[in-house]
Amino acid sequence: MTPPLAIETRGLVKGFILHAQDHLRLPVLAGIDLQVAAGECLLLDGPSGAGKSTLMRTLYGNYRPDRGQILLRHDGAMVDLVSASPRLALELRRWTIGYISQFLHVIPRVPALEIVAQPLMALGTDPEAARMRAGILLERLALPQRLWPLPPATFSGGEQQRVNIARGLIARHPILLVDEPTAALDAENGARVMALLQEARMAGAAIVAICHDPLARQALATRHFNLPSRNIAA
Amino acid sequence: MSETPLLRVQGLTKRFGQRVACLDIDFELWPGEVLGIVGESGSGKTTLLRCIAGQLHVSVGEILFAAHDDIADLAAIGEGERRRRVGHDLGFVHQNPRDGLRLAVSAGANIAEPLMNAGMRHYGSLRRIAADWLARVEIDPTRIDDNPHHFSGGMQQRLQIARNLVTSPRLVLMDEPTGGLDVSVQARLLDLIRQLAADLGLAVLLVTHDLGVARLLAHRLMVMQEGRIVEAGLTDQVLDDPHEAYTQLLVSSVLQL
Repeated sequence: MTPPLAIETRGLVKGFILHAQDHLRLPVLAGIDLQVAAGECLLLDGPSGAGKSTLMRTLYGNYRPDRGQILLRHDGAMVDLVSASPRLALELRRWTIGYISQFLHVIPRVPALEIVAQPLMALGTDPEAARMRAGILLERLALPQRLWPLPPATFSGGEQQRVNIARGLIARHPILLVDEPTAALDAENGARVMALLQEARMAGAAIVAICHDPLARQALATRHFNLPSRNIAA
Repeated sequence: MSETPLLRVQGLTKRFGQRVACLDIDFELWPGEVLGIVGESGSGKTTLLRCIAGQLHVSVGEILFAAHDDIADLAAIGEGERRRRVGHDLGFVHQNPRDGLRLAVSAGANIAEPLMNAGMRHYGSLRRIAADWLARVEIDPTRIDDNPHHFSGGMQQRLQIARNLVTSPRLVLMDEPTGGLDVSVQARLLDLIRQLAADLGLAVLLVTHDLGVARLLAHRLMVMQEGRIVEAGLTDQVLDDPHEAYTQLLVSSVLQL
């Protein structure tokens, strides 16, 4: 039996209009059709400027496409994120689709452990249990325990990225979007992140990733999706 | 997911003489949601909040509030009926805590007063609840008998929040709650508001001109310009992929850190 589709896009078109620059139009995605099944990791390939990040952000609903559908498996059925109400979109993000961006954006002053535990608490998990799971993840990512009670604002880039990855993995979303997960990490910590992502995939998560690090690419990808370079003057 | 919105505003228009302050405003707010309203001074965001709070009469439109087992049109009922129907289900946090506190009475009395208005009389219980709430908003409970007049701005704001939340409202309207505070105090208050809203399942309608505050607190955002909603969506959509010229201008005007 083939694993069920987790993501399917149909005719996804996305461009930007810059009103301050005489309403300049920047077309970026011209009709993307892709499919990702549970347990797959699709690596987005293409030259810089081909729209990899735009596609990722569009899949998360962060960017609003001009046309097309983004069907996500949610609660056993395919749901279109593009036409979803804001309320449904928020529910999709809580339960179904996670986005691990390159940088951590959080409220200042909140301890790292809380930042990691929050997405799980938002699903109604008991705060103590959520903190415990957060601790397990941070331990696996080798973030020193003395940092857990501190807000990450003063952490190094690599420490912040590991907090971000733990936060992105804790809710066990069946769909994960991952942008350069090892960019700020040394080889050892990069390998720890890869192991966790690999486990998530083996457990059935559908992953879409952008990644330049050749080792990580090899470890992660089960399939590639090539974004053609585009003609900016279009 | 609950099936009815807590608040549904339909076709709300507010005129001051010839001037239109809010025009044809439509939106819904669901339990547990924080909805931000952003825009420049004079865009109508505070007027909209004050209409919903009943501080201003609406010219046209409906403000449907799900109170108890009933839906009340706050735009159509008088102050007395409003109190009876809505009671303490709706709170209002002012930008200036002095507008929302009674500075002549103690911190404890500021928290206990709404409960007393609701009929609670037992002194020991009132005092215990007041002390609990002081702790929840990170004010040392030994300050219970102190007059908030002498509190710092950040403490006063936290006290105002406790006074508003003690009756377990379902909806809290906030007008620039971090407006007059130092940046370090702001961060602490933002975290407190976020935590309380999540813990209590509160719906919050948050007016702010600070897009950073909106990004950290609000699930959804509405952008107002000259009394109209020009753009709305999930907070990160509106801030990262603004479509309207005005929103693009607003977002690009923020200093990046």
